Amino acid sequence: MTKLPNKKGYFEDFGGQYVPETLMQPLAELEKAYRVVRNDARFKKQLAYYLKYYAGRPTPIYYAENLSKKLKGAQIYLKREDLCHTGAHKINNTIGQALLARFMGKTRIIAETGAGQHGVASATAARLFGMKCVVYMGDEDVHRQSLNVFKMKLLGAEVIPVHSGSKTLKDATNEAIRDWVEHVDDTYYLIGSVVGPHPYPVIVRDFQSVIGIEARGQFRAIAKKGPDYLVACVGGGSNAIGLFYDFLSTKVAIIGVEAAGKGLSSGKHSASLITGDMGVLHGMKTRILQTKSGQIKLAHSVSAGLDYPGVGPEHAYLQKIKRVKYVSVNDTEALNAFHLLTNTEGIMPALESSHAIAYVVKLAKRLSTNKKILVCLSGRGDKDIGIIQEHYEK
Amino acid sequence: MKNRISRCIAQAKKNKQKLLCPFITAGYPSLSATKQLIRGFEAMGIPMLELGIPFSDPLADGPVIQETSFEALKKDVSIRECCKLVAQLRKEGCELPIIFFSYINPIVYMGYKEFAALLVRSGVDGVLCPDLPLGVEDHFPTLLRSCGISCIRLIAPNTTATRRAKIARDSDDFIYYVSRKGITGTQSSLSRGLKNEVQAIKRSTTKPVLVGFGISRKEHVREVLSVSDGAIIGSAILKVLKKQKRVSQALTFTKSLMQGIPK
Repeated sequence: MTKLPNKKGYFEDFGGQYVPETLMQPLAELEKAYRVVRNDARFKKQLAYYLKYYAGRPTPIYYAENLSKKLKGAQIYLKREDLCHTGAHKINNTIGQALLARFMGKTRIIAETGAGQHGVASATAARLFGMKCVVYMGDEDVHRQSLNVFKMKLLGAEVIPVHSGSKTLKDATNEAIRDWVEHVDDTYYLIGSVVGPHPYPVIVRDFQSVIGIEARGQFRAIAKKGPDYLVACVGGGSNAIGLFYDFLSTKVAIIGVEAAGKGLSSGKHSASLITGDMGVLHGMKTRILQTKSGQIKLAHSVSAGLDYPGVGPEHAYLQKIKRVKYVSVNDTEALNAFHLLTNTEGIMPALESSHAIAYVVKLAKRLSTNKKILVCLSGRGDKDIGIIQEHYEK
Repeated sequence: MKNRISRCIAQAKKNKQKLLCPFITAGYPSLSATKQLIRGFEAMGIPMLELGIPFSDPLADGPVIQETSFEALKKDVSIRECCKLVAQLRKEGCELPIIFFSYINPIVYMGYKEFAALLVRSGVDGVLCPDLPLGVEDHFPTLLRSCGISCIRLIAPNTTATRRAKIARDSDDFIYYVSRKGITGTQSSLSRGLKNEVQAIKRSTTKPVLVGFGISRKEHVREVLSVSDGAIIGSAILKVLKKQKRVSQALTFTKSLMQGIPK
């Protein structure tokens, strides 16, 4: 496979830098700094140190024997990103980027957040490295995820509710970009997924690819050969790229799971790859949910972390070249998968990861017992207990 | 290129006239109000207009243009609606140069070719995309030019010298200088480095430099015009329109800004 993205940040048709002129210089600066650190032995050593002793890496691969036996199909293995510090894979990226920000001499970190996981992970990294942290969060989400808002405040971050547009993640991202345009000199914009203008999709992919690199080695040690299937959920797509990237050159079948919300035909979903059209949002060209006149549509999912009308450009590329198959799972299926994993294994998955589990349930049943599926359990479900309770009591 | 913009620029150069160019959000508060505003601008001698095509995610814009865009979108104001409006104005004899200020997504969705053809048919003279910097899909500006439509580029305070020269060469008719690192919207005072920055651009080009972002008072207009060839004013006019709800008030305010133009 040729090395992508190209110099201008494209994965063939997807990616690029669709930003106001004021951001062209900061993006060039970021790219230059990143090129230095990605090959810098000292930086790599620092990153490895914090990932191991602070974030809790490597995360284990766990053979979900009870679940596999119950489904009477393929063997299911879980990459336990839910065991990371702060409860999800998000910390891999925030530690990496916060170190990069420190290297660049920036003293202030800004971030966007939907459910609050990336916000908490950013606030955590900022605390660790002694930087100021401002998190933009849609006003709707501030109310839906009040516990995470409080956590960020405890960590010393300033949470700014965003009242513009739809008051959700997409608008929080707009607001973070606006802040960055105004404070480019001292501020580092810490994007939470493999989205945004180049070089962000590359930076976040690289910091998350530790998931797949670890998993490849671990899996070989456990099963003597690679997995037959990889499965991960896709919102922006950071945990998915993180797991997939190191495996792309192998023969494993790879599946990304989007959120079908209340059903693809209901119009209330987040399946940008499956139903979206080519467009530009937050500085990147990719598949986007939009109206007939090219306005961005609102996404929907029971899982706030998948609730985004765009998707990382590299996923759009992997879909186009058919290396990765993208499927969808609706709210009800995801909620059922949450209960299934909780009841069989005693593991409560985040609602995002529950989408991946829900697809694995369908897939495993169709396969023989000698097949092996590796699924990214991207986060734990603690943050979603309120939503689970609401549905449970209905 | 010989369209209304280039003719306007040539004439201003000849008469040593400074340009005051309003920006309004199309369809705010209604398309008929937009039409009245445009006719009013033309009648008071405004040389050129930027018409903002509303977009759901205007990330280069401050609160005023965000809100006016959001309101316009509630009425489904689209590129097609805006083109219809311009076509109608042209039919009625309006010759004011009109530049579409549009984020790139609605254009990508429509398709570049169809967009260019629609603009030609409707009598739109130029395009300015705040999220399409030089070096990204340059084939689109090339296509516009081949249809006789100008493509205006922006230069920011942190644009490097080499890039500044490239943009100045590439931009049609004039250069839009963004007066500050930040988004659109009103402010109390202008950046102190403005004069030096505009002079730096003028050293690399003979094209006029118009300054926008944050100009909201007659005094600002005077200050900006003492170092540049023109001023672009958006949020301040829309703010008046929002508060007073009357086209006539917005026109009176624009007229008062014109008093900042040196005689």
